[in-house]
Amino acid sequence: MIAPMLVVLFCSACSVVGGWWYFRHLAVTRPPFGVVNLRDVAVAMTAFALLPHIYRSIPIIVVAVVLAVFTLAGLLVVLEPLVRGATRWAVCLALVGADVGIGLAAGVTSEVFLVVNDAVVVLMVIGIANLWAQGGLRARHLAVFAAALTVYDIVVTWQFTIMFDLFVDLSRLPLFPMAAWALDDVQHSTLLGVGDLLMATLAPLVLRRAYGRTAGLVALACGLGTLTAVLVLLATGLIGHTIPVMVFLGPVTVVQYLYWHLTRGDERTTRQYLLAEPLAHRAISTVAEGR
Amino acid sequence: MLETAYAALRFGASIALGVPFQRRSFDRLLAGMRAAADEFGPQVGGDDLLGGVTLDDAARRAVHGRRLRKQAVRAGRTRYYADVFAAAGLDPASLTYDTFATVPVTPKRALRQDPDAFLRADARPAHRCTTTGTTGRATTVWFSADELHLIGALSAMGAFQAGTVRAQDQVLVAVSARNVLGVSALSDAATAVGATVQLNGMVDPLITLGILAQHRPVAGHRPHITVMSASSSYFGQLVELAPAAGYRPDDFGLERVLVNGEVVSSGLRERAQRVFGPIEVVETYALTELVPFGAMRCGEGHLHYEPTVCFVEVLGIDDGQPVAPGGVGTLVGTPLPPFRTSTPLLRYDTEDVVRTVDGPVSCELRRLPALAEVLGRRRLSVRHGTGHTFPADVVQALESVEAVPLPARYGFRAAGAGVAVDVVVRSSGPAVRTQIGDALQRHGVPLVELRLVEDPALLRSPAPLRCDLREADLSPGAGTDAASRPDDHAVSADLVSGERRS
Repeated sequence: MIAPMLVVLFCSACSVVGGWWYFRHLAVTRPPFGVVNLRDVAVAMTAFALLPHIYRSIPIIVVAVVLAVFTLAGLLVVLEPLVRGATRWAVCLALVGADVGIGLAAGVTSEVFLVVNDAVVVLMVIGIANLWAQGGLRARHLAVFAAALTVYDIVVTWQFTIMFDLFVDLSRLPLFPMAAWALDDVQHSTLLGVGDLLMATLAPLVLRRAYGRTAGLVALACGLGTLTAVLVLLATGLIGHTIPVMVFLGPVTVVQYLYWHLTRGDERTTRQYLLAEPLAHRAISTVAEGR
Repeated sequence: MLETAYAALRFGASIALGVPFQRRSFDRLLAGMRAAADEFGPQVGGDDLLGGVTLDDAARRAVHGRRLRKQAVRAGRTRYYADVFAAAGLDPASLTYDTFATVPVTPKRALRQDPDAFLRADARPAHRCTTTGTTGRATTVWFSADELHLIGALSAMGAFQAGTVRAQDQVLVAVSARNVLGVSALSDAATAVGATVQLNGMVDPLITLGILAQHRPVAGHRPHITVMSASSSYFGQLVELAPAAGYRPDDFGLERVLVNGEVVSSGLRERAQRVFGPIEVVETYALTELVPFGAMRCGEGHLHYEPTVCFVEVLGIDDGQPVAPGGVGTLVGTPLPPFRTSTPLLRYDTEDVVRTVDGPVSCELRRLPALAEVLGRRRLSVRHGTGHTFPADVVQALESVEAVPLPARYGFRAAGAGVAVDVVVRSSGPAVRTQIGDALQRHGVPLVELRLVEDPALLRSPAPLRCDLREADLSPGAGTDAASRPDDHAVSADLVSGERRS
């Protein structure tokens, strides 16, 4: 039981640390439509609430196509600063193709598939988190998002079986949006939903931009620490096998926001953040341009 | 972000399908731009929300054909165009891109004489807007409340994207208050961007200089007027008067001057730098009749315009036929749907002479079509034995000579195989005559006779200047002392005195 947990924890660490590195070194191409705001959080929250019902009410092949499209879009976003032009498309299509192909050929419980799928999930989460954080998501809105997800998880995931059923359904498809290991052994398998992983990856970025490096590092440590604590509680049998991580991660995020808000006051805008902490690659280009 | 994306899609649908705009979409787009500017800082040229795809020639003809036909059908519900179509035996519903040129050109005088005849029967007019009207009687055009809102919003988006007005700016609108659309569009843009705005009008230039030099601490903004909108000639007056009134570049905080409506000469730009410091002179071309058509100068000097808002033709001055690339002709415009629901104009003759671009361009705005330059009003141009001479040729030449005070006051007329030019100079003499003669010849003016005068009243057929459309003000002593300056920069704009500086 420990090994699957360690694998999922490793995936989480890759996502959180990778997202942190990406935030300081690469810039996603921000859509030219204002900033990510509370309305976007509301849309995301609505999607989180409706998707389980939608996924379970439409043919599985449609779900697979939707997952493939979303995954491809996410990979294109995250790899855009690294690989350009046709190569980017080739890499992204190859990743999606490998995930689907290996899933179909070797089965979605095979270790080789899980390695590929976990890598794809981590890349996706890094991309989405950076798109939101670099898109201007405010720390206040992040806290609202975390609180809403927490309430949703307490009410829906804990009280009803719909999320568990969805996990079971989705884990039969390639490209399933979870970091997972040992799916062939139900008793010892470990799965971490993309929503939980996203929150753990997103919070350090938004809090760093809003309140500085210390706030970001604290959030990074809190996120990974919370995930570790949940897995330890699972391993020791203190909590049941199906546990919504946001029940722990959400309050931790909200408390951090409240602390920084009360001690530091207004959060920084992206512009203020970049003036205070210029990105390395931007400083280099500025010097090269002689400005 | 998603809401703004939807608003951008809604805007695109209006353009592509010709369906009416939705006010809320514009407000949402503006709110998104403002939020992005607040969060990320000025995004000059960054968030191109409204930029469409560049169409190939066949697609462009198809799209334009459909939109021109739609506008012609709309125009058929006006008294003027109903008569025009009946007289010409045209069915507006059957017009195509290729047959649109069969619609007779709409002369300016027709609109000026009876603007109500151009009002659609089912329109909901709210405001009859007046042009500045420098060259005679002002022209008026009807607009609905939605159209005015749209024009303000488009102006604000343009300001966001071009960076002509920024949140920290304090804006002074020093154009004629009669130019309602120009004033309201810039005011709306400044307000939307987060800048402050003051409507000044074209009052005595000394009063305007006093306001420009005023220290005006406003939280979140620069402590001086940083952006001014003015006609070229009025700006020239400010440039001319400032040193005489004792102002130095350090007295001002001006960063950008938005100039429209008259020729902006290189000489004016150069002299302005010496008077106001390193300012940016942003030259635009727009006119009330064709709103929201407008053109902005790129880094290489072309005047680029957005083809989705107006169908532009350049017709030969003498034969009325489309001119070849690099040729000179009159600008004729047809604002396209969904714009201009109240007063649709078809093939409106602006009477402005322009030079077309000769060949493809490689500037930063190359995706947009462009004009090479605006040469001035057709009726102020002169035909002579060797061709035409345009106001721009003469102004560019004259304002490059220091001996000619700004704005250049001149008159010119045909004389044999060339032109005779009168010009006001500071003091006449052989050296000045040589300088001006050389400058005119360098700018291709076939000079036959040059007459230097020191009194503007002695000019024969003087070219009209917008700066002479002076508005009254209530300041004590204003306009009575050409060499005065306020002693106290902090004095209220309304109380600037005309005291002479000792």
